[in-house]
Amino acid sequence: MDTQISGRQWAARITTAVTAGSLATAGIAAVAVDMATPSHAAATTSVTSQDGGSSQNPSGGQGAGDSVGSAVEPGTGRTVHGRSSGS
Amino acid sequence: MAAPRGPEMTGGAAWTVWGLDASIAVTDSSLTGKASSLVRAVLADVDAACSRFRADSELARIQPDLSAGAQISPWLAVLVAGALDAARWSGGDVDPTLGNELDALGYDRDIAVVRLRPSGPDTPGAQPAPRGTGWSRVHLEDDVLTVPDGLRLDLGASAKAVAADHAAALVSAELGCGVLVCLGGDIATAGPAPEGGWQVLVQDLPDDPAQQVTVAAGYAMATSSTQKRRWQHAGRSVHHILDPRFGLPAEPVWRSVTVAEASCLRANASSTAGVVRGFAAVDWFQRSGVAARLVDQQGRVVTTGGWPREEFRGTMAQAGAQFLG
Repeated sequence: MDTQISGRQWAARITTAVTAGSLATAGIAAVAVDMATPSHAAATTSVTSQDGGSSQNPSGGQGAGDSVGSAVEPGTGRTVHGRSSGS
Repeated sequence: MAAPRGPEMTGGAAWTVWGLDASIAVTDSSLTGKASSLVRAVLADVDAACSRFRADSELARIQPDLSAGAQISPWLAVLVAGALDAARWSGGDVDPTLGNELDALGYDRDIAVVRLRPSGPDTPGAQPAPRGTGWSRVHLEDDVLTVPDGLRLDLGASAKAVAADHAAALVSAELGCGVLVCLGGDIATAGPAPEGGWQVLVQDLPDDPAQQVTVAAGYAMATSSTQKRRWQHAGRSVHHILDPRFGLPAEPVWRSVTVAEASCLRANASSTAGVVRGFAAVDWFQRSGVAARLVDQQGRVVTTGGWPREEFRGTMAQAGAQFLG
């Protein structure tokens, strides 16, 4: 294991990771699964308005925002691998 | 892309770091130990580079020299660059120069220690004073970092996300497996996903609405919360996500904001900025097509940008979900 990796190498690895994400955004990685065991539907509002304009794009042209729905899909109900909660 | 691995092959490990839960899942259970060691090494490097709570961290040691420009390590350069990227992407809503303001609010130690402190005397609510932009005055040229007097870096949120991105990429590259790295609310993945994709439970506190989602291979997710990292200060309960315009805790319009993105750094920048922007975050995300899930103070959920709408009331344990490890 090489733990004495340089900053440029780290940066290159980040670039690789982001590039892979962008390729997935383009549709190369497709994950289509079923919804996890629905029990009670909660009050969920999906906002779909597209009007207006904004000068700042949180995804900066490279993120999930470029391909709606590709980054996250309904769960399968299988074993959970991680939990996203606030820290 | 490599073929998905079966769920029976998946392994995992969990521990505590920086006062939060850390865990990994790998597509080959025999690599769990090696993967855990790699991730822990990355976290140790990040902590040594930029901890605000360690007098011997690189950032603490060079603080007196920063106004004149100081040479920094490659690791710290990567972390500062990530923080400045997050500031730029968020239009300054995520500002890494809020260290002094966090100290003033009493958040100058590990959160477990801060919570044990007395609140201090009540102070009358003063009118918030506008604060000048900080991040755009920080300069990183190659390995020389310059921070004006009066500003102090706090790389906390973005450093955690950068660590998750780096750790996931490193594990996948070194061990040749798929991996999910989870640091508190920040999740990064690299390499192939297990069969059915990476399953992630999105839920802040136990009573908050929960949802299990699938994160595509190579993607990331982050949740920012106004509920979890709280403490008492001057007779008030405060949280750690500051509005850079005033250097004070952002109005807690949302209990939590979760974003899925191509990297954990981007997801963290967007989720943190979503808290700071309050109601305006919904339109911002929607216009940009960002997949986000926002939970308001009444527990109502708003989703944008293709985030799956279905929700559950109650905990995932009630819904029968099982956790790895």
